[in-house]
Amino acid sequence: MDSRKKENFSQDSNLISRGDPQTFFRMKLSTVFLRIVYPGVLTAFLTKYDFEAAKKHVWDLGYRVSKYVFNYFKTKSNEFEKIIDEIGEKVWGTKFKIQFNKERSVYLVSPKTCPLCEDMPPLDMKGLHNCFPFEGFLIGYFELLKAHNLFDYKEMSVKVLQSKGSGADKCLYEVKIVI
Amino acid sequence: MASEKLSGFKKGMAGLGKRLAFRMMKKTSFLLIADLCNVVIDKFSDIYGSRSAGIKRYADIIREESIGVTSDIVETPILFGISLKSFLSTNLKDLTFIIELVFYTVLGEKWSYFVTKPEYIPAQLSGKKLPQYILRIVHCPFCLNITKEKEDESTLESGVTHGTWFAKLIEGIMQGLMDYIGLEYRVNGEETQCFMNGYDYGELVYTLYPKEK
Repeated sequence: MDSRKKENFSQDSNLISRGDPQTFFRMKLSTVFLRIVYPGVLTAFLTKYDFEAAKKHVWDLGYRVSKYVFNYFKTKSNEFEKIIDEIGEKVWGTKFKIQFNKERSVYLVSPKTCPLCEDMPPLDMKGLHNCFPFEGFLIGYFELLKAHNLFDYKEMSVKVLQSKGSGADKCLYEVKIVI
Repeated sequence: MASEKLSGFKKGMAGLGKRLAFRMMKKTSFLLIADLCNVVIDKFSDIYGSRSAGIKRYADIIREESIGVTSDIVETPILFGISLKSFLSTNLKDLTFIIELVFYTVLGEKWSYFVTKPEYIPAQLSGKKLPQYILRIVHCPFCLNITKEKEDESTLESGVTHGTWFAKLIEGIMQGLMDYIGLEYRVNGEETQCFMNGYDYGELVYTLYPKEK
């Protein structure tokens, strides 16, 4: 028996005393912290897998995070642009500039600051960006909005076009949504 | 070069600097990043074959990264061009103040909702007869939504807890500071108590071992 583990203890009995999700959600953390917990993970994926598989794992980080976030944060609006605004402000901790490109019927979304790129070592790898998990995050989060009848759409795709972490002057995402 | 002991004046300056530094830094939600860390553990558990292996692999990566990042942070100006290195000292007791400074700089004034200021145990008073620091986690964003269904603590290897990676993160920061100051210690940290093992708070214990020549 490991001395660190109490006997006859029900593991979930103290879930409430572990902390208030809303308090932690509102607490702000410097993005410097991400320099410790994130770049080494990208390296681990790239070392263990070929490039395409590693990309899928990085994308999946964001996709899976959306499932956690949805447990304690649900957007209030039912308009696409306002939902993106809310995600930017409340979750990502930044403001998004959103423009609709009529020719291509896509939204171009650009964060004022990007938590996954600011303060990070540069990532010079064609086709992979520090903020690549954001693609997965948006897809995952909108799937949940749809599943919970909070926002309906037929199709959605997200693509990171460029990122600060890869040398661009700003991060830019292309979001296509068919309602 | 680090001073032998931090003066009250320097501590006052650091108190002002930490507020400005936090205000100037780019920030995001703490819980979002905690979730990201939990997702990494989920994925590493799949990749490396077990929950224990996933946590240990992440802990190894984090420790190395935090040593490197700490030396960068120490040199970053936080107040009128003055960097954290001006507030370092070779007095082991002062490390509690420096760790508190780091927590404030990274999390702002609400940091104490998460952890307490570390307690310094001089060698003569510690059970191992080595200098130690004890840090308590009073609320934990890393395990607040981890149920037994998701991670059964009874199945983890002896010596591994959900917070092992965070213990190693702080260990890396402390090791980075020791190396920067030039103190010849090897820091070893472990999570001795975890909410998920039935305790009312988490506890991290850091022991300073003299480096072997």
